[in-house]
Amino acid sequence: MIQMNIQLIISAIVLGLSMSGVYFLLTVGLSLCYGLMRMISLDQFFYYALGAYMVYTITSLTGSFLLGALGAMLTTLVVAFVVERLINKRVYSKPVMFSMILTFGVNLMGVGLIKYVWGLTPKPVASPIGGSLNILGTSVPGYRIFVILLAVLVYLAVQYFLNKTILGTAIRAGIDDAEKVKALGINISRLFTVTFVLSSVLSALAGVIHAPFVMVSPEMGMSITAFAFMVVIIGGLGSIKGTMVSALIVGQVVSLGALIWAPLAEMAPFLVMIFILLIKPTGLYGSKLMNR
Amino acid sequence: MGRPNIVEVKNLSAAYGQSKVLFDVSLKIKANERVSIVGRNGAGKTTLLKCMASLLAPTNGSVVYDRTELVGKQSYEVARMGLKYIDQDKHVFLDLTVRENLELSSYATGDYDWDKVFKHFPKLKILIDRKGAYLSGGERQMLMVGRAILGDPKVLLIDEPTEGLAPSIVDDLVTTFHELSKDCAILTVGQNLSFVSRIAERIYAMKEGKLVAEITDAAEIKNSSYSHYL
Repeated sequence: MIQMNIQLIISAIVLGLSMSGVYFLLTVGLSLCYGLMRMISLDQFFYYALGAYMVYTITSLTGSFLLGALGAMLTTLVVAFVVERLINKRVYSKPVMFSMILTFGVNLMGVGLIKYVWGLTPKPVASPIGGSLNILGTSVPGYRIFVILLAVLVYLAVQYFLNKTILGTAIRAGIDDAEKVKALGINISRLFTVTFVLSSVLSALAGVIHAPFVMVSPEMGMSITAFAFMVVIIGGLGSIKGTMVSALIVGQVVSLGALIWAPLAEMAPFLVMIFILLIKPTGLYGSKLMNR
Repeated sequence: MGRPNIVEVKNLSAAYGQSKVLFDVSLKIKANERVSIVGRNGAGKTTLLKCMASLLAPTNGSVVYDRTELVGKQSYEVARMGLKYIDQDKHVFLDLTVRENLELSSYATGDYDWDKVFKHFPKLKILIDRKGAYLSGGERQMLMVGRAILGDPKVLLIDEPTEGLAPSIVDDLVTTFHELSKDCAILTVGQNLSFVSRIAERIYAMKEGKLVAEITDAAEIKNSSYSHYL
């Protein structure tokens, strides 16, 4: 009996960590977009779904998940670039409500486009990594471990980019005060484009790695929206470290909550969010400076 | 032969929404000149500087810098052309170190010669790995000016440079601004008469969005006889 409980707990922790990986990849872009552009980019959920559909299509055609993942990210890069240049850049200087409404519209259009191209029937994507790993007598799917490692790798890469490259330094400065970055002579508009496209590609990657866990469906972006916002709000808008820590918390609360009592999986993250916001209204790593 | 004009502002007007704050302001700054604008709070000094730096679009008028019209240009283009604006809030990027702050300016201007920054502000070399959040007001002012002089600007627009600074640091700034003006013109705005009297070669007085006087007499400047404009 005890043995079975330990196995369940280990499985739940690994499941939670892999969900954290998906949440992190999806929300890091939301956080960056708000941090730099003060924009709530709801169209990230479209790029997430687009990533999943593209990996489904290309993997089905070529048999290669890797090619599918690369194709999905490349397609999203192009789509996000066009959307940013043609649509989103028009609302950067406007109150945040404008960006919410506009990007929600882009998201709805994107979902409509997905329904038109791929239809309403959910699509399966096979796991690219078979086999399992034995952890303390518990068999853990290899793909879940891969997702966890990939999320850690992306976190390190994003941290490196933000802290060790000049473009990343400029983004951090812009998160502090975009006007001052312009006054130095830096083209902030180009920085916005880079940040938005990078965020969208990471959202697509979230869709790619999540696809083998779920059935790919047009509404998959909508169904993960609440959890994604919880992650961003708990972590603190604009903080990458906060997003990572928050994704870990939400992932574990969802999976361990489900183990205790199934409805807790949906309820517990909200309770955690309310509790954290009562203690720290800016979120765990949110900055009071972000009042632009 | 006199020095050529590096900036010429003609009939500049500006407004925040329906509220007009600048009315037909015209002024000139010569190359390597030190000019100050004095006036009470709300006189429109900061608005004028922001319009000159293209951080605020004027409703009317023109700003010609080095024979180029600046109205309509982006603020980052103006900064790259060599007209730099230094804000009054002593805001450096708080999460960035002194090194990163300078790197950003170097990235924007392509000028990586930090020796000129350290020549004027040797303390920045010691503080190179300190984050902006942990700098004093004086150190932040040094960093802001240090960042601005990368790219060899021809004009520095400095808003309230002495606000909140200790008298000893203000003394240092006077010396530094005199040194800097060998390479570029400096336009400061503020209400610190002692500071203005020590650095300005020429003074404009502003009142309710208009330039109301120009003081060029060295004795008048030294005696702060323009103080009634404040």
